[in-house]
Amino acid sequence: MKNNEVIIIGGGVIGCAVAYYVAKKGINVMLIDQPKRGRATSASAGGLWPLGESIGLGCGVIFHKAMIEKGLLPADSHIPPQLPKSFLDFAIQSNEMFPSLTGAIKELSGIDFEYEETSLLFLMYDDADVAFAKTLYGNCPCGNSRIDWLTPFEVKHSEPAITHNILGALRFNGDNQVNPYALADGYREAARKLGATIITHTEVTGIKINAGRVSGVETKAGFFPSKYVVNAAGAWAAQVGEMAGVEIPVYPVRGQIIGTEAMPKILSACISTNDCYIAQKHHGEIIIGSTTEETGFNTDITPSAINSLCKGAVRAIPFLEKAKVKRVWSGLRPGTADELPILGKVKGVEGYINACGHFRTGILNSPLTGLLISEMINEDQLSFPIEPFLLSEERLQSLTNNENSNHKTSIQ
Amino acid sequence: MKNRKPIVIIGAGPAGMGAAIEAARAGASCILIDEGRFPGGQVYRKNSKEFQVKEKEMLTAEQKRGKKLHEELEEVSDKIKILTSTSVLGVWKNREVMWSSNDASGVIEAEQIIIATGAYERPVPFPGWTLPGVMTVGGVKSFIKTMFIKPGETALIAGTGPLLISTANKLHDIGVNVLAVLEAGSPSWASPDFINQWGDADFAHDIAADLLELKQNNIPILFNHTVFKINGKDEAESVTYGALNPENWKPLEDTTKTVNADLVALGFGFVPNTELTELAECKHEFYPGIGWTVIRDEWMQTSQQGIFAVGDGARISGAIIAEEEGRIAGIKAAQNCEAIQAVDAEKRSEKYFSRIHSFEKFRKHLNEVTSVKSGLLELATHKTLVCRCEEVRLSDVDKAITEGAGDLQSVKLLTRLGMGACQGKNCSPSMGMYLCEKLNKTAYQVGRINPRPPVKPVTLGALANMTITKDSHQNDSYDAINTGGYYEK
Amino acid sequence: MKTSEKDLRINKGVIRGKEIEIIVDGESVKAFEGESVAAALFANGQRISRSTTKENSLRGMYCGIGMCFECVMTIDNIPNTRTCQTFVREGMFIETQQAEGKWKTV
Ligand SMILES: Cc1cc2nc3c(=O)[nH]c(=O)nc-3n(C[C@H](O)[C@H](O)[C@H](O)COP(=O)(O)OP(=O)(O)OC[C@H]3O[C@@H](n4cnc5c(N)ncnc54)[C@H](O)[C@@H]3O)c2cc1C
Ligand SMILES: Cc1cc2nc3c(=O)[nH]c(=O)nc-3n(C[C@H](O)[C@H](O)[C@H](O)COP(=O)(O)OP(=O)(O)OC[C@H]3O[C@@H](n4cnc5c(N)ncnc54)[C@H](O)[C@@H]3O)c2cc1C
Ligand code: FES
Repeated sequence: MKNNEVIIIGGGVIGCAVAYYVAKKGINVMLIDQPKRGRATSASAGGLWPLGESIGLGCGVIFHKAMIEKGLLPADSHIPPQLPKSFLDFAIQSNEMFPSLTGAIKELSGIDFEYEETSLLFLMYDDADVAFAKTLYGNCPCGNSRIDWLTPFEVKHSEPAITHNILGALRFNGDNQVNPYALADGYREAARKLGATIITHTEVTGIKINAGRVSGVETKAGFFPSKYVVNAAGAWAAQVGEMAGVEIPVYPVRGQIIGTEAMPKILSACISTNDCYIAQKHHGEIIIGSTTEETGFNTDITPSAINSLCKGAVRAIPFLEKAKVKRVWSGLRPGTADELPILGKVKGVEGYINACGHFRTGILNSPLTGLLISEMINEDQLSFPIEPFLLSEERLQSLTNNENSNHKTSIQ
Repeated sequence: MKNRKPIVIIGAGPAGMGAAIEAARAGASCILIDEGRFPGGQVYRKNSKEFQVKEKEMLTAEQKRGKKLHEELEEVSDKIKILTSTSVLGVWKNREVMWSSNDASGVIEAEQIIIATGAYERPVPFPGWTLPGVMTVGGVKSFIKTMFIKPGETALIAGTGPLLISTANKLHDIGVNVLAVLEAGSPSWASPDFINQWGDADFAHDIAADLLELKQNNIPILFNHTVFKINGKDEAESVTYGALNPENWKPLEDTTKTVNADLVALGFGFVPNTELTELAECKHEFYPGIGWTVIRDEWMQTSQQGIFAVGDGARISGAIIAEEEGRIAGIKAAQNCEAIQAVDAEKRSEKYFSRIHSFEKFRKHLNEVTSVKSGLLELATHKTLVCRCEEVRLSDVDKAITEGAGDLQSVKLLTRLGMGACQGKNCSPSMGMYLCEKLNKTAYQVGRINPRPPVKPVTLGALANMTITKDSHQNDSYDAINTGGYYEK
Repeated sequence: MKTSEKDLRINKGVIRGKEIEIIVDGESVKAFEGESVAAALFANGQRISRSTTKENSLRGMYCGIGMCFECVMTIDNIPNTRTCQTFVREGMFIETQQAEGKWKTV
């Protein structure tokens, strides 16, 4: 057997992206995946919303409203927290990789991951939404060059299916979408074409360390030697970290999501409101997401979540009232308390590399994550400053000490 | 007893009706839910209220059993809430039941749940099986019974098991020209010896009567034969059929003949409808010849506390056993609700247990001789659609296998097999078997396509309009449901 | 259009519900209360319910019990309605469904 330079643990969108970029550098790489119930990539909506997500739209605003309703946040805090500029810059740079990635993946794997330039609309239902939109419009970290303020008339014109009971909408240009499963499949197949070894349905049970240096991984199918190990185990990253004696403050955050029957094209943009987000996929189904719940590794679907997502969808797009729900499912996001991914090497274990904690934006941030990890392994100049995402001792401390981040104990 | 949550019975076929009757007789509060407009299930489904059906002087044994069961249910109908035209969308292991009806939906918290959702016909893919004019035998039979309409003019019937014969007779009765019955299995189960061996089992009698009638109707029955291909441009026009190797049911290609027929009725046995027991995370096992079935104790209790499974949805045993299983579960559920004592439950259920025992051997034999053999898989060509909903061809599945897919779930991700409206019911039984054969794996290794709620179609509007009911006495959200008024006096 | 002379109803032993009219692909078709939509169409000689999205192939009622979704048509502007499980109503507006069907979105 050829000697692996790199073994990636976890075959979600992140593991597959890393495999692709590492293989592209001509490095021997092996990806090992055991599909677990709740793996995030196959549950995801596939939104690429760098602006929306960094200013708290998408899941952020829904979660925020739910927290207020539960009394966990003051009622007047109607503005979800914005993520730091470094996150926005990372997300924008990653987003910009998609147009060329589409062609590259298709050429290698034959898979079209259905990249679509949609833009994202935030609908304003009431004065609070308008006030929120105004702050976004005025204070967007990227300036408002990429944001349009639409009147109800303009919304009606471009998206006739949307309710007329709105006060306006913000359009985020450049916030797009893909088919997340096809994206992961595409990375994986492309990586295979570039020489990567893909092992599916195999659980990694241990990471072997010799004199402070990674020497391979133990799996249910035997031992595989390698120089580097990449932890891309999504919501299970903490367990994999532990195998190398590294504490990874990643915890599962459940998202429930609804898909409708396939319909003719009725939406050209993705929609975000304070109760849900809505996107029509290539195949015609409309995806309605999503909850943000800390219920450990439980992947149940709950009637109350279905109810509130359906209410939100019908409010935004009234004719959906008559559309049929095809499936409801859930996935476990790899959550972090500061909502930033955890990337790069750690002190004390040579050859161990993190690629985890992508929370709500693993699809969006997969290309740049993959690229950075490959550059790190190849000892190239990095395309993006990685410092904010490293698991430094201070960050680890603040993530584990943070009082509202005592997540492990909340696991049921 | 007061303020107990109700026993919720899902499915009002013989199994569910039996359960409701016994639970109500024992004094437990219960709710019987069915998607259909009327109770009865697949065998005893009542005609539309709007129709006036003149009862025949000579009822068949099946009709008599149905009539009696309906009468028993009617007797206790004031003690049962019967929700017809109501679909159950999901069941949780904490015993929440989510339902919908028209534009509303809700959640009932149940004390006990009895799942009696029946079976559906086993899909066997081959060229032309998607053409209009090709139907399942059960579908044809209940269509004629309930709608009084000829589904075609000239019919050929193929598959395995006794339902082929009763359907052939039914078609003949209404003036359809039935060319033949093609039975894939061997003559053993239809031979007088086999039937006589089971003495007075009702079910054996039914089969004997049906066979006699078939003879009187001059309908030939060809054993070890089946349909190879259905031809037609827009609809079924002709059928190519041929002989099968009796051992493994492999098609013998040089034996084919083609006849004109505009109706092809197919019935290769049944697959239990396990979606609700799967959603409730009950333990299942693979039962050769039937497929995935839920594991139960002698009282029909699944591995989840307070959740029962009965009838063909649990294990294919036919209408008679379904009813008895239902009765046993109804009694036990009532005991679990403390409506009756354990000794009483034993006493009430005694005769049902013994009836089940008296049928068991016969049913087991019948299942053995009529269960589909893997040679039939060879009927499908590369181009044959194996997933009707998502239009996946056998060649797409083969390609996925070449790309490393080793189980149904991976095939699904690569091909969309099973992602359509039927949630994999019409492809996973045959493709599960195909993967086992092709990869030399067990059914456990090949796995299943997991059902997801909602298991029945429901609109977003109905789900947006949802009520959650904690106990049967408080604010009954389901009072609003149109119960079809079937038993309104 | 479908104005077939056919009537495959069996009238022996049954008195049907009230005769009504339904509209099928623009044509008026006879039906009786208590019939499923699929039944009324079959009686009239129409067994094709839809054509598929990918291959445009024709389908009709297959399982008859609401399981297979082959019999779906667009009924009163709602696509994907199972005709074997839906009962006729006076003036019901039924269309053979092509692919995912046409929705009235506004
Ligand atoms: C409902 C929902 C909607 C979302 N919407 C979006 C969106 O619109 N846009 C966006 O960018 N992001 C979205 N996300 C987030 C995104 O899906 C995740 O951030 C991303 O999928 C994480 O990818 P991953 O590869 O890290 O994790 P996963 O996809 O979970 O992959 C991890 C893999 O590792 C495997 N594994 C774990 N332990 C082991 C082991 N010991 N051995 C072998 N294998 C192991 C797991 O089984 C799994 O296959 C959404 C998430 C959810 C749940
Ligand atoms: C189409 C068909 C025709 C058949 N005809 C015959 C026959 O003529 N003679 C014979 O001996 N056997 C027949 N069988 C076999 C027959 O089904 C059984 O032997 C018998 O009916 C089993 O009884 P059951 O109560 O277990 O299930 P069923 O009689 O199938 O009853 C199950 C009931 O559950 C309901 N249901 C299922 N899921 C849900 C849900 N999620 N929500 C609400 N309601 C639900 C269904 O509407 C159905 O009424 C037929 C089977 C089929 C599929
Ligand atoms: S024929 Fe199968 S759902 Fe109507």
